[in-house]
Amino acid sequence: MAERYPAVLEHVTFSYEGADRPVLDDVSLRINRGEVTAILGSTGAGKTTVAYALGGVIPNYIRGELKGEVIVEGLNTKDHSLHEIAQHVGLVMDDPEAHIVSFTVWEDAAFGPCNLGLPVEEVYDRVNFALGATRLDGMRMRNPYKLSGGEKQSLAVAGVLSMRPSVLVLDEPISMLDPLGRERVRSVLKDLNEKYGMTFIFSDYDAERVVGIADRLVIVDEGRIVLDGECHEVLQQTEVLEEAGVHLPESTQLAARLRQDGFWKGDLPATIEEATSFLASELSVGQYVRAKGEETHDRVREAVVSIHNLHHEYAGGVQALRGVDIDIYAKEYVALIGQNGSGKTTLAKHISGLLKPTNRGARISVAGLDITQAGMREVATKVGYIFQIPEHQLFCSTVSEELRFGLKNLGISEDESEARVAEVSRELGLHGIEGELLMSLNRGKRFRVVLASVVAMDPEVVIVDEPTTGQDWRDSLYVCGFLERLRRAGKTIIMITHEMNLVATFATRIIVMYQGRVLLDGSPRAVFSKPDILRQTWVQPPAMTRLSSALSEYGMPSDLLTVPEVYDALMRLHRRAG
Amino acid sequence: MVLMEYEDKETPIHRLSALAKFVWFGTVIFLFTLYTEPRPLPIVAAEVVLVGLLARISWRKLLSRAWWAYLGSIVGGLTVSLWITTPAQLKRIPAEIGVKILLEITPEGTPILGHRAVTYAGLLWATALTLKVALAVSAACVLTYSTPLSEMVALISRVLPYKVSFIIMAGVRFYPVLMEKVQTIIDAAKSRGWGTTSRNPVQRVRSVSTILFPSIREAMGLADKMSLAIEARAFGTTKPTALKMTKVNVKDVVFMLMSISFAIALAFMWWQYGFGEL
Repeated sequence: MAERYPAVLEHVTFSYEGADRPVLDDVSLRINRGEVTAILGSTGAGKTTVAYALGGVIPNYIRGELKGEVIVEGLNTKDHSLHEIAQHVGLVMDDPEAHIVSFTVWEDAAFGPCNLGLPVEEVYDRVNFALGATRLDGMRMRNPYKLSGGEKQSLAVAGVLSMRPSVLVLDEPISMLDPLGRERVRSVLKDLNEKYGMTFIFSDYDAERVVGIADRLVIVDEGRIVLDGECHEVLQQTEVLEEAGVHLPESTQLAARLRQDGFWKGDLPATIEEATSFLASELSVGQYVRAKGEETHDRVREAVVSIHNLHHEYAGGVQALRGVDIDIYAKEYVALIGQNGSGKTTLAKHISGLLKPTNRGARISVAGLDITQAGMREVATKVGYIFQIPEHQLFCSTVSEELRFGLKNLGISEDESEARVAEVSRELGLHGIEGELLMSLNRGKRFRVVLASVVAMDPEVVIVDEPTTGQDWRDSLYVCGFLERLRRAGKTIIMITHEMNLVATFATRIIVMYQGRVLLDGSPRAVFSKPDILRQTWVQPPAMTRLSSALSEYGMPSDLLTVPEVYDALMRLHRRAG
Repeated sequence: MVLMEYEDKETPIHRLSALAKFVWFGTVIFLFTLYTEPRPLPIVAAEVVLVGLLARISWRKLLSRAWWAYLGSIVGGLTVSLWITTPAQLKRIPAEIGVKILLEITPEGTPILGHRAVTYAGLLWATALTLKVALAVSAACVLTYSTPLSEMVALISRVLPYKVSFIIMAGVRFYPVLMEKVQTIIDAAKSRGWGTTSRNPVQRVRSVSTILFPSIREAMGLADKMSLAIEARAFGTTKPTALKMTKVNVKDVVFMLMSISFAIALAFMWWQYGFGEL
């Protein structure tokens, strides 16, 4: 059986120590050799636990009650140590930095084989293979800590690859990466599978990201497998997928809506190419629907954030910003996009007063306050900054204390604090959990607590750095939707993100950063209709913009952004033709 | 953690083994322990500069990172030199010149401080200390700039058990990662109005404890993930393969012999002629 199925879960039920209910509930799964399997589900569905069980981390490292059997390459994980299992199944965690143990790329890849006491020649052979396969050959003597996100993730893969496993298990390998990093990791995995026949299992919540790599999709919901099958086949079950909190590819979402109206016939597509090819056959050249006009977002022409001639050079000579001039207006929802290292976070930190310009003539003002001169307490009343990882911004024990943390620092009276906390708790669904310990909440809830405690300080501008990190699609939509409500109430939102779907849905303006400068600045339609310029930053327009652009010769406006917009345009074309 | 991080370059110094560079660094430090006046120091400085030039170190970068060490040594040197006011502290310089008061700071009988003054010997001593610190920092920078930390740790592991040396290595590697995370925690706290502006020490300690809690949580989380990653890579299961990264060749031996000979020559002059003593 091991010959055909290198990894098998047989009726696995697992509860973490101290948990009142199992996180995996009677899960059975057989992984075929040479197959790429994506395990999809929302946060807390059990994806990481499946990955840890397959990698032998459960029960060897993480304790709990394990029922059933996990067999990898014929070894029962209960009877073998972690390092024995690691020679058959390599586990790559979501945080690549946790894998880095050495000072050079080469040594890091050599760490595992050296620990196995292998002959020097064998160590060299394995390291050469691992670095070659992950395209890190030219970076052997580089400091791993100075690699980009995608390169670090590739090094994490190289580190376990040099242990010569036949199966690689990756826990959300691309969710924390920028577009370039994602592309790099995707193509490395694809190469390893195609050239070396390696078996892969990886987890994610976004089906769009796994289409094109995964042969098989396993959908997990509340600790159970609810769907398991070939990629295309599973994507037909849109209702089950949505129920499980999986973000469907936009082409699939669009086709599912069109199918309800009888416009789409046959199987739902997984990719833009499939959707385009079907729609092109259904539409006839020459039809035309007018593009929807630009949304008028009651933009008040009063700059809330005004930045002039901003430069920043980090110690060591890295030029992070090279002369940025931007005005951001009240009630704008600005998406700050670009590659890691393009200057997005540095710019946001200047707006929030956490960094000061390194040139003389720079001016930054927020709601009339000169940020370059103001103290942090003063700035905190104008700008709220929400960082990526919620755990980095939780300073108290309970939800209630945390919500009052900022207000206390600002010296807001008890009564006023009470009123503000009650309001944000209600708005963010935190009512009733004020007394709970922060660490007992799931990541989505923790993020909401951070958001609530910042919003309670009533800043004019709210900056959110990657609201999707560690959250599933539903949580991300909830957060972005809440920010939209804030915008309508008069606040200005600045969101740093790599998720173009969210940008297309929520942003009223996009600022694209590239090498410390503003490369593009305009409405989402205007920015996304310049794919050639965007390509420099590895940013791809959202799927629906690419689809509408591909169908422009059939009369589709080429600058549509979201599924409802494309659906509307298609229905109008369809009606006109009918 | 280090002032000048390793840069992978093809220079004669980068190509030397860690052992050779450690020996060179040891001889430089040894000489500094001998000297209390600055005359021999330009000779040692010439040696450090020569090695730095061969390693193609960026002096501008070095100055921008180590300026506080140089400034501190000037201030420290000048302060301590005020205590050199008695003939008993001099071995070679005649007392009438050495302890001649150039500027009196506190008169005799001043409580606690006593008689403090700027003297000729004191100035020489302060100059020597400043130069020694500056050169020691520069030599350390040349060492860390041209030697991968792993080679240094590999050298240490010849003396210490593998597990102990790995813990040292992991600690060194862990430090910048952790510091970056702690900085994020501090930034997050600041952006919510947290600050340590109070002069009250109790308030200050309470204030710092705010960021301590998430920082410790972060450190523990990171350590847990790292220990899982290293356990999965068979750490400590068997005698590890030694990659012999600290192999010594002829160039290393020549470099070590030159460094030691240079140090012996200067030490002989110090011992025989008091060259470098006040």
